[in-house]
Amino acid sequence: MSLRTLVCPYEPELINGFREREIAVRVDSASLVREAGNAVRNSGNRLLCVILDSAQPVDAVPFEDGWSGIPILLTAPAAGEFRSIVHKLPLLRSLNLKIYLSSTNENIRDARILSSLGVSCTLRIEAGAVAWEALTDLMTYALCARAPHAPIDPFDYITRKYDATTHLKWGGVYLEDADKYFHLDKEKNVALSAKEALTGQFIGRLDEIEKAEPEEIVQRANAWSRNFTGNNPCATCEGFKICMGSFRPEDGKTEGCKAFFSETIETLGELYAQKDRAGKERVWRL
Amino acid sequence: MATVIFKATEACNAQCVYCDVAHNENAIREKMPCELLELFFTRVNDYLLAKPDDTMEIIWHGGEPLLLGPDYFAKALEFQQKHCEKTAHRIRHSVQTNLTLFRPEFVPVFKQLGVTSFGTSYDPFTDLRGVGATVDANLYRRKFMESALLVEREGFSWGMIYVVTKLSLDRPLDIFWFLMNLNPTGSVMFNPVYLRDRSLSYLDITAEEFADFLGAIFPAWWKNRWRMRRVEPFRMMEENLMRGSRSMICCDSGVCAKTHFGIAPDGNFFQCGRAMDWGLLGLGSIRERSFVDVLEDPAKAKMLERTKLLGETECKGCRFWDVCHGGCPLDGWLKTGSLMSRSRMCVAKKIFLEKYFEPTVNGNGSQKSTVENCRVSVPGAPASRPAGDADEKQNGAIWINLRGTAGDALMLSGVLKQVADKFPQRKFNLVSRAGLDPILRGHPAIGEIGHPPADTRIMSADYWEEPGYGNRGAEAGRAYQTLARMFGLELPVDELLWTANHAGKDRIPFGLPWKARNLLLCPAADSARKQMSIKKWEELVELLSGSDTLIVQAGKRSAPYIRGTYSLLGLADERELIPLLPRFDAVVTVDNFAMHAAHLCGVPAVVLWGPTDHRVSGYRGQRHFQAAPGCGLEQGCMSSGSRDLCCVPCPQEYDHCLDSLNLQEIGRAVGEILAEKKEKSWPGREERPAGKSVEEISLP
Repeated sequence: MSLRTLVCPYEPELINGFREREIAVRVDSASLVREAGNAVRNSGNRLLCVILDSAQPVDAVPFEDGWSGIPILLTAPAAGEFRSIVHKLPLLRSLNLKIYLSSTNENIRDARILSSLGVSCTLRIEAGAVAWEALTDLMTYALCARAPHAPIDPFDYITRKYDATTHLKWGGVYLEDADKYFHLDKEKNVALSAKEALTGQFIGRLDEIEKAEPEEIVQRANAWSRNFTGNNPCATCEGFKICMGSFRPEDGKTEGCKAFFSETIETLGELYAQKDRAGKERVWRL
Repeated sequence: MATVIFKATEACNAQCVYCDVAHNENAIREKMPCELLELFFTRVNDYLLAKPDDTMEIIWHGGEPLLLGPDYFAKALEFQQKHCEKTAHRIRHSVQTNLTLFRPEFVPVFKQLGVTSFGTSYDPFTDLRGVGATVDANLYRRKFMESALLVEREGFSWGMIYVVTKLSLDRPLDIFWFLMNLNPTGSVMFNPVYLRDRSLSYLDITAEEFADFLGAIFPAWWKNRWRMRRVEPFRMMEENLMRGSRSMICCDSGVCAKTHFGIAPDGNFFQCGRAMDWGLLGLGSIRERSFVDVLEDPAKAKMLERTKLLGETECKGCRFWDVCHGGCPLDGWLKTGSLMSRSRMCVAKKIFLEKYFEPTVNGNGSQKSTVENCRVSVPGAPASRPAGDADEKQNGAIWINLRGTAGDALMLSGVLKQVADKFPQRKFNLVSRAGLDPILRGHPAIGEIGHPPADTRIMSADYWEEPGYGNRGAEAGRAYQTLARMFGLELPVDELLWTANHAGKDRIPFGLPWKARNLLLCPAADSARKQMSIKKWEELVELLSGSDTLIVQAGKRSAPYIRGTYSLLGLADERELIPLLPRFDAVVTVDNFAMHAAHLCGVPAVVLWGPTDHRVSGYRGQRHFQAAPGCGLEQGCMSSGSRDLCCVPCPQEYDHCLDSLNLQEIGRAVGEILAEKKEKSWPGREERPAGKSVEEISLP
């Protein structure tokens, strides 16, 4: 079994209990970012990133010069006031920072602005009421816009990893991929996503799981196949290969997600075709 | 390759409604005895020793071959190792299974046998396929999915057949996307149901229904084919009709009798698996006969005669003969009782190709040999293969199928203008193609532009496929002359271009910052191979730049921008470029539309050539720079025999021939043209806002 990256709460005792593991450490206060990052690095483990779960919008996060050199994954409820963010731009651009926002209409709009300001961000797309049309516009901007802009995930990830002949899992963008990440609590109980860790849905203890991989992990990896044994509309959707049925709304109305993922595939196809046609040097230059 | 459909048992754990074996009382449910299995491998070895250049594919069929169990396959492996020591490397195994019984114990032995792929069948929506006596479709689907995941995890490939029945007809696209999303690593094939049992007539489909089912799917496949694995019969049709491949499944090959035979669990030979299921065309027993004997049996020879007979009778003149050969003889027998008749599914193929395939691929500009190639006869002019004017009158105007680029359209337009000038009554129709139609719209020789009805006579304008084309140094080998010859003009002709309504004001809605000398650059071409690298273009621009020279770049919006030029990318299409061209003093271009357009407008041009040859495609009076191919292809990689390479970028990358051109010499040639510039007034030139800087030009 391959060793997974561990996503842990910032508990020095827990972190010091590991050796030569890759760790993403989670803090809920900006004041702990540097400390948590250093703690992982000094414990003989590799730091993937510090996850800062901020209850405040991005504009209110007290970014520091001292965060440079620390990969930071900032989850925030909103971007906040751009008047304030603009003053912090040089600092934000200098940091190894990725901002995670939920897919509200406002956040979709703000992700585009952040990206155009050179700040990389990620939208968390979850099943439910997503403004698919706005998301489609953002996807087009992220993939096709010729104006310089920072990457917007998951679109950037999808572009880089897309292979037309296979299914594409992109939960890794959110550190949610049973083949790559384990989310721990301080007792070393393992969950397969941050939400499950938060709600106590654990699949076992780390040491036991790493001795014998439970069936749950294989089932999670093959969860997409369940779409093909019932009368599920996702099974006949043109966009299935990059969605894998993960975003089906509970009300069963799939028009929005179907249009979004189908258009994303079409755009990717066009991009790849252009790339194939154009060759290495054929890049747009301003 | 010889192919044996090997049925070591006809027992099956499933009871699919339309299956011939499952409901055949005479099917042999027992396993083939071990002594026969051993004899089978000795026969395989004998065959391969007798045919040292041949290989043998053993398709484990049934019934359900996985019912044999891993031990039986281990026995087969043992016999193969024992008897085929010197020939084993020429044996391939594959397995046709419903997969529902696949389990990890099969993995080692299949890997040792060299099995790499499984063929399966699946039906997502109907309950026609199911396991057990109750035909449990849900259990079938669940087991199938579990096994498919296991098969993939173990590194095997799998493909599937979908059997189209009456119950499938209302959901073709759902079925298609379902199977695509399931993402088998092998191919997906749509087959019509073949029913012998009349009580199942409620499942039967007509040829028209099968064609319409395929036709409902085809546009979706065509649009998305770049991201699909093989889907049949579409890919096969595309390869055979458009790419000149000649690879077909047994039913369509016309030579199945030469290559295929089947063996039943009791060791009896049959023509094939289907013949075995229907109890037809028995060829004796493995106990008495070798494989060579079987393949040379007079009954097999008679089957081969069928192909010849159909070609001269029922199928005579069919333009799809090459991809059909009358279809499966057994299906013909099902309809007429005679093995010498064609399959009823021939009709399905024809309808599908004419009603769906051709219109769809035409719309995307890729049709090749699906249409009859005829030649035009112009009264009073010699024609290589005259179609006959009387014939033409009887059948209406000939449709011209123009592929290629806008430059080819301009050439065709010039040729047709000469035809129209000589023979004003002469009219052609044009197969519609986005991007090319505008060049020929309003042409006096063109009647209708659209999609040809079925059975229309279509003339190809693929001059590059003509004998003699590309013969350097020979006048008749030039592109324009070849095209003119195809339209019956007497050679040599003046290479005049023409297009309707191009004169007048240009359509660029804002002024350009004209300078004393104005140069147009058109670096892009339909093929990456015909392009020079951006870096070289930028060096050339630096060389040509001067305070009194405006350098403008034109091309499609997606074309890469050349630094230092004034960009009109995306602002002028082909038709809009033509009235704009005369405003420039010179054009620097590659082998593309601008090269033709410059000739049309009489604007001096410097043309850079690499894989194509100016002696074949260039115009006299233009300055040509020909790069010598450094890739070992002396004729260039896009000569008449290798035109398909145009879609693939040059593998030489930085050693691409066009990049070896001497920029100093090109710059000198351009300089000479600009120096010779005569102060003639091009249309609209007086409107240029001389002296204005870029900032002063107001953009809309």
